Amino acid sequence: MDKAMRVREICDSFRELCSVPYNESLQSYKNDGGLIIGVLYNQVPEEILTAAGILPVRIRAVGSQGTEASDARFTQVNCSLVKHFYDSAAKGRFDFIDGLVATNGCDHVRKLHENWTSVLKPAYSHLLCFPKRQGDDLQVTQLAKEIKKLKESIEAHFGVEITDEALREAIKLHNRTRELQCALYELRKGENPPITGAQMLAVMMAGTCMPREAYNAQLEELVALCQDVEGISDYKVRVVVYGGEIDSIDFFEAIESQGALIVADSLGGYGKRSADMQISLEGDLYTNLANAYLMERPAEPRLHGTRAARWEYLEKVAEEANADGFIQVFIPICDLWGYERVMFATEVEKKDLNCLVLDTEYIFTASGQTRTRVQAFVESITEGGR
Amino acid sequence: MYFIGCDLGSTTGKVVLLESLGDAVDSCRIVSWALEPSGFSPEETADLAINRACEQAGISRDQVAGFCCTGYGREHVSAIPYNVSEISCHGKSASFLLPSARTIIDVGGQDVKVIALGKTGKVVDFAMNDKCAAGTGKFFEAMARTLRCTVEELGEMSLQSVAPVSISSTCSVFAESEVISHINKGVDRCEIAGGIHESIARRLMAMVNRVGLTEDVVLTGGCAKNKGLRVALEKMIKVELTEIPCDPQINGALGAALYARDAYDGEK
Amino acid sequence: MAKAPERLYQYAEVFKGGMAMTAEPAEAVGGIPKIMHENFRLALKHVNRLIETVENDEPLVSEWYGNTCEIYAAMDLTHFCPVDLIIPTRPFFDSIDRMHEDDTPADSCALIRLAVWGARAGIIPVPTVVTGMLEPCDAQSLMHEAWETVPGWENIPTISLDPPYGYGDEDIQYFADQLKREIDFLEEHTGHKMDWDELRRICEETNKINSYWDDVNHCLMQKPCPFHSLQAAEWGWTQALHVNWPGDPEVTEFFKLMAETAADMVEKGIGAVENEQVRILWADLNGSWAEAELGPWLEETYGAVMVNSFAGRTPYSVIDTSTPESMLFGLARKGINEVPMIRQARGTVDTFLQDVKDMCRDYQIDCVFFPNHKGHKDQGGNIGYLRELCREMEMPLLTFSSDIFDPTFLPIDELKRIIATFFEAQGWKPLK
Repeated sequence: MDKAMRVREICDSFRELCSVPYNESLQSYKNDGGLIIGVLYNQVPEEILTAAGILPVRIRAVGSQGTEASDARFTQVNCSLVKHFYDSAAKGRFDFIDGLVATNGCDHVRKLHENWTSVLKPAYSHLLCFPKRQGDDLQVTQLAKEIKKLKESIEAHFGVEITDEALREAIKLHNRTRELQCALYELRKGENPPITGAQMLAVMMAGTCMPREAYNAQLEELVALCQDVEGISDYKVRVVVYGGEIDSIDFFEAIESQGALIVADSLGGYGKRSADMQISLEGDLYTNLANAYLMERPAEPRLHGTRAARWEYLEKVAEEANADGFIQVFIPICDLWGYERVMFATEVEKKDLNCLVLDTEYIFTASGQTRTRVQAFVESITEGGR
Repeated sequence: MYFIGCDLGSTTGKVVLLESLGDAVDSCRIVSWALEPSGFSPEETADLAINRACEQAGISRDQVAGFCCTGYGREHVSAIPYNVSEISCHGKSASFLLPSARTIIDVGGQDVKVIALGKTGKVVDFAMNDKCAAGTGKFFEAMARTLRCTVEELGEMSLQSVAPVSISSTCSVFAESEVISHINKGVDRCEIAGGIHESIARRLMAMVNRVGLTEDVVLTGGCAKNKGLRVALEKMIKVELTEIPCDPQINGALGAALYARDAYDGEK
Repeated sequence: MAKAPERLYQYAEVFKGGMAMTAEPAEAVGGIPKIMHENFRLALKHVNRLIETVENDEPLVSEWYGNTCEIYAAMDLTHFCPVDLIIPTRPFFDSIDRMHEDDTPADSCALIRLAVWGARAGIIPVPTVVTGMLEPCDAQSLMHEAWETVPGWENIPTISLDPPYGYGDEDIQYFADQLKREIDFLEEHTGHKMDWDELRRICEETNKINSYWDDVNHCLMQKPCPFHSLQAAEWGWTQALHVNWPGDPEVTEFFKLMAETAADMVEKGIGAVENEQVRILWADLNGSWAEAELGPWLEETYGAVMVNSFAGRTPYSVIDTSTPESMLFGLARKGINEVPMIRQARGTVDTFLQDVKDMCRDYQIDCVFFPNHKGHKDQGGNIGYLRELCREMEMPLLTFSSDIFDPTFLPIDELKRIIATFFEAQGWKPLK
C-alpha cells in the first residue's frame, strides 16, 4: 500500500475511535475482562492506573446531543464542557467505566466530579487534589502525597497492589507514548507536514481511548511512515493553536479549510503540552510523577505563576514550526482561558504577533462564523488570501 | 473593464458593479449597485442582484471580467468560486473610498465587526460579536417591534431623547423584557429608544476597545443608515464618524469588486 | 513626596461625606447611624493610611481576600486589597461603565474585572509586593497574573498561597507552612520584620472581634431583626476582612458598638423594620448593590429583611496564641476554613450546605435567595444540592442569575419583578 494512503488509513482509524465514547477497541477490551477508569483532565497521573492494570480513558462527550440532564445540576454560569460531560454521563454514555478519577483543575470540573459522584454514583470515584501553582518543594511534596493517596485508594477498591516495579513499567510505557508523539510533532515542523492539525488531534486523542500498547504500536508505524511521505503543500499560512481542553476535530477542520494549516500547538488536553515531558525512573517514583506533572510539563493557566513560561513555550513552539501566526481557542465561561486571552493580547500587541481568538462551545456548531474569522485572519496575513 | 462584488449577507444581498478604466486603483468607479432581500439560496439572491446591477448599467453579464463573493453566502455560489471574507472586503473598500480610514465599525444584519486598518489599508486586527444578536440589525428590528415602530422611527425617536433609560442587558431577549418593563412604567418612547441606542453604542465601544480606536473612523453596514446609532456611537467613542462617499450598506460588496479586480490583474 | 492615585483622595472625600451625613441624629434611631459613622471613619482611616504610605514611599502590600492580614499588621506593613475601595464607592464613580469598556471577559466576575481594570486604569496604587490567594475561584489566580501585564506592575515580587482542597489538620498545616514562607518573603522584599509578640497581641484582638461578631449574630437570630437588610454582614465583613488594620483597638471597639447596639435593640424589642414579615437568607456574599438598592424596597414593600448572608457567617475558632506555630495554624484555619466565600466555595459542597441549613434554622429564615453569582462557577454546580436541601427543609428557594458586584448584569427592576412573582407564589403580599 502507498505510504500516504497508509498514513491516512491510520489517522482515519484513530479518528473513528474518537468518534464515540465507547469505541470498538474499548468494547473488545472490556469483553476480555479489562477494567476502565474514566479520567477527567490531563492532570491525573494515569501511570498509576496503568500500573494497577486498569485502562485510563479520558472522558469526552463526543456526539453529545444536549444538556437537559445537566440543567438540574448546573446553571448558566457553568461551561458547556461540563454540561455535556454530565449530560452524557447521566444518559449512560459512560456506563462502561468502572470508576472515575478527576482533579480539582478548575471550578467547573471539580463540581462536575462532585455531582457525578454523588448523583450518578459510579462504582469508584476519587478526586486528586492538585496544587494551584507551580512552586517550591511544598507543592511537590503535597502532590506526591496526593498521588500516593490515589494509589492507596485504587489498591483498596480494586484489590490490587501497585508495586514500584509495575509503576516503573507503566512510566516507561507512557514515556514511550510521549516520545513517539513528540517525534510526530517534530515531523510537522517541516515545510510539508505529513499530517494536518485535525489528523494530529485524532492521533493524540486516540491515545486516551484505547489500550496503550496497541496505540504505541500504531503510533510507531505512523511515525516511521511520516518520515518520507510527500506532505501537505496546499496551504496559505502555518498556524499554532493555543488553548486548553479542545477535542473537536471538526473545529480544527474548519480552521484548516481556510488554508490555515495547523503545524503545531500548545494544547493541554490533547496537544503537545501533554506530551512534552519524560518522567524520570530514578529515585522515588511518586516524587518524580509529582515533579513531572507539576513542574516539568509545560504549564497552562490553571497553574499560577507560569504566565511567562507559558508564552515562552508557545513562542518557541511557533518559531520551531516556522509558524505565521497563532489561533487562540477557548470555551466561553472559562475564567482561566478567558483571562489568558486578555493577557496574551498584551503580548500580541507588544510583539506585533499575528493572532486570532476563536471561541467555541464544547460541541462545535458555529462553522460559518469560524470559517469567516479564519478566512479574514489568513487574508490579513497574506494580503488578500492569495 | 467591469468587475462585480457580491456581499451575500444574512438579510440582504448587495452587489456592486465596478468599472476599471486603467491600472491605477483610483481609475475605478462604481457604475451601479443593487440590494436584494436574502432568499433561501445565496445563489438565487446573487443572481437576482447581479442581473439588476447589470441591467441598470446597461451591460450584459458576459461583459464582466471578474467576480468575487463575500458575506455569509460567499461559499455557496457555484458560478463564483472566488470569495474573500467580509472583514477583508470592508477594509479594502473603506481604504479605497477613504484612504485615511483606520477603524471600521460595521453593523450588519446579524454581525457586528470592528476592523482596524494599517496605513496601507491592510487589516491589522478585527473583532466580531459573539454568537448573540445584541447590537445587530436583528436586535434593532426586535426592539422596534417591541416599541411598535419601524427601525427608522426608532432611530429618529432616539435623537429626541434627553434622559435615555438604562438598558443593561447584553442579551436581546432580556433587553426586550427590560424595554417592556419601561413601557409598562409609562416611560417616554423616545427615552427608551435613546436607551436602546446607548446600550448598543456601549457594546460597540467594548469591541472598539478590543482592537483600539484610531481615526478616521467609519461606520458601515445597513445599520449605518440609522442616524440614532451614529449619534449614540459618536457620543460614546467621543470621535466624529467620517462619512464614506457611498451607501454604507454596499461597502462590503465594493470591497469584493475590488478584490475581483485584483484577482483579474494577478491572473493576467 | 510621591503622589497617590487621585482616586484615593477622592475615596477620602466620599468617606468624609459619609461621616458628615451620619453625624447628627445618632442617638435618635437606636445607634445605627453611629455604627455607620464609625464604619465611614475607619474606612477613612484606612484610606489615609494608604495615602500616607504611598506619599512617603513606604512598602505597600497588596493582599487578597482570605490572606491573613494579622501577619502584615504584625510586621507593621500597610496592606490593602486592590478592589476593596472600588466596590463600596461604586455609586460615586463610573467604574462599572469603564470596566465594561475594557476587554476583560464579560462572563467573569465583576470584582475580578474591576481589579484588572483598576490596575490598568491607574486608580489602584502600585504595591511593593503582591500576596495572592489562589482560591476559591479560577479567576482570582489569573487576576494576579493579569496584573503582571499592566505597565508599572510588571516586576512586582509576588507570592501566592495555595489553599488545599480538604479541611483537616493536615490541610491547614500545608497552608500554615505557606504562611511561614510568606513571612520570609515579606521580610526579604520589604525590609520589615515579623514581631511575634505583636502578632500575639493582634491575634488576641482578632479573637475579641470574632467574639463580638458572634454576639451580633446572636442578635440577628432574634425576631425582629435589629439591623436592616445585610447591614451587619456588610459592616462586619468590611471591618474584619477588608479595610481593617488587625489589632487596631478602634476596630475592636467598632464590633463592640455593633454588638451593644444590636443587644440593646433586641432587649427593647425594636426591629430595624417596623413590620417584619419575611426573613431572608442571602446565600452568598452580599450583593454589593443588594443592601442599598434592594434592601429598602424589600423592607418597605413586604416587610422582608435579608437577615444575613455568607458574608456574616462567623464560625471562627479562637486562635491559640501560645506559640508562633499555634498562631500560624490558627490563622491558616481562619484563612481557608472560616472566612466567608473561601469557606463555602473551596472544596466540597458540604460546608455550603451545612451553612445554609444551620443559618436557616438559627436565623428563623422564611426563604433563601441564591443569587447564582456569575463569578462563582463552583456554586453554579451546587444548585442541585441546594434545591434538594431546601426541598427537604421545605424552605422556599429563589434562584436568579446575577453578578453580585455589578448591578447592571441583572437590573434591579428586573430582580424586583422576579422577587414579586416569587413572593406572590408564597402568598406573601405587599404590606400596602
